[in-house]
Amino acid sequence: MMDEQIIRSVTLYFYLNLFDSRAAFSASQKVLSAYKDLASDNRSDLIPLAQKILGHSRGLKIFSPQGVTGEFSIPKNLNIDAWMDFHKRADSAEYESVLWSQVLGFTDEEVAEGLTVTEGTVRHRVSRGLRELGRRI
Amino acid sequence: LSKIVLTRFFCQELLYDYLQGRLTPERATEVAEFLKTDEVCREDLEHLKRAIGFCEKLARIETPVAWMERWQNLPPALAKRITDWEMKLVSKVWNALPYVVVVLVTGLGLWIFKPWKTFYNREVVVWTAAPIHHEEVKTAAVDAPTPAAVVEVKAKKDDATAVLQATPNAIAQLPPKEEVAKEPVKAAPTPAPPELKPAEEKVAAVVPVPKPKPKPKAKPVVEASQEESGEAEEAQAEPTSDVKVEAEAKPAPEKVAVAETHEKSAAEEAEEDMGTDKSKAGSARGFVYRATMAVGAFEKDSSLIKDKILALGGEKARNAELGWRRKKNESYFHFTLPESNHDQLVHFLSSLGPVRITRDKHPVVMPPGKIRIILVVKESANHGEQETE
Repeated sequence: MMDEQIIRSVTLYFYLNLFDSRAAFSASQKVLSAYKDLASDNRSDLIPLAQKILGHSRGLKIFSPQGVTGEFSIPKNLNIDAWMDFHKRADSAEYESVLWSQVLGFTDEEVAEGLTVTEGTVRHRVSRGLRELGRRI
Repeated sequence: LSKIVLTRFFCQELLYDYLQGRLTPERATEVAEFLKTDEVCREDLEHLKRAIGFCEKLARIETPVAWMERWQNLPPALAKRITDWEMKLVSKVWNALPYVVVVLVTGLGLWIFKPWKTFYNREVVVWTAAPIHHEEVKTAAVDAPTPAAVVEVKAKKDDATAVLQATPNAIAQLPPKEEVAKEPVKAAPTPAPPELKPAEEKVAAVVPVPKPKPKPKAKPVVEASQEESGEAEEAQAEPTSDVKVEAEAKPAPEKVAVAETHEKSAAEEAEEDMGTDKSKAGSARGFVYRATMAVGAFEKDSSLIKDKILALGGEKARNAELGWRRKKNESYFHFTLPESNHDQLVHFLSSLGPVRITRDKHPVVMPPGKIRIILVVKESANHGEQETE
């Protein structure tokens, strides 16, 4: 059985990148099935898989499955527009670092392994990304 | 790192670790002291705090329950198949693109040029018949008590048929090329003696049959070639038969009766074909018959064909002489013929060997009652093998 936390992380990752439920569903399904085939216990393996599928999914929105039911439940006092603005303008490496580390709850070590960089680089990117995000809130 | 003097830039870089509590106590104190004096760093710290709080709110976004239930029990094989199919879809589309273009261009070409119209413009009138073999005439000769009876039996058929049926056998019995031309004339009035072998009787039986224009002396090949060397190129350039010669194996001797039946059925079939052709020939558009055939005794048969054509009122068309030796073991006849004699000619040709005739549409319209024929006679491949044996 797939870990609930992993499913949450993956779906949220795609939702906060694609901002479309159906596209997020399709991409999440691919990543989760691929991750299941890996039979890995290391969460950092999700990061390159998700990034790979994300690259494809950006051009594959038309192939999103029809009839996907359910929508993400967003907290009422959350200004998602600020995040979208951050997604649009921030450096992608900083954005990814902030997302995996601060939103999805991955440790710096896991993020560093997934992104194949050092932990110091991850902290630097997160620091800069958070300051950038803070200016937009 | 602790020895580095704290600057604004350095302080900004340390703010995240400061909030996370990862700095040493000494460095944390330095950062706290620096923040009191630097407003920009204080703002950055505020931004960091707000962003971290914002990220905590983002983390509370809930994934739909239906999705969670679906994927918690996702079968791996099916999932892999879905993933592979969708991942490869884009590349497959691009890989298929050249083929799609080729198919479209081919379809467009077919639609524009319509090659089937050219194909159907040609009417195949195939008239293929197996030649009559030695054994058939042998049987007739053995059954008949005298040569006269043989002639009588053959006389029941039309003259041309009688001559032609006996011809291959007669050729087989005759001496080589140089003597062949002279022998038939001498033998003509002489009835075969009773002690002759059946094969010899056949020769005798052939001779009495009246020939319209006997031409025993055929032109030597070399002379004909030299005389018509100028015409040769022109004739060579003429559209020759596209039809492949059917090299049919001769039936076994014990199957003579079967061969006769086959010949009859082929003749009937051909007559039917020719009947339909005649009806079509009446159309305003012209046509030309193209015939190819393979014969056993090439030299003799070519000469006989030429004689027969002339006997049936045929005239050479264009410049090439009748029987012009286009290649080694290949003679060329381009001639006009009264349409009424067409069947006789076809029957004659079929008695010499397998013949294949097609009728092609042609812009040149012949006068009423006349047809144009291009006949190519080749030496049968089987003949050479038999001679070697």
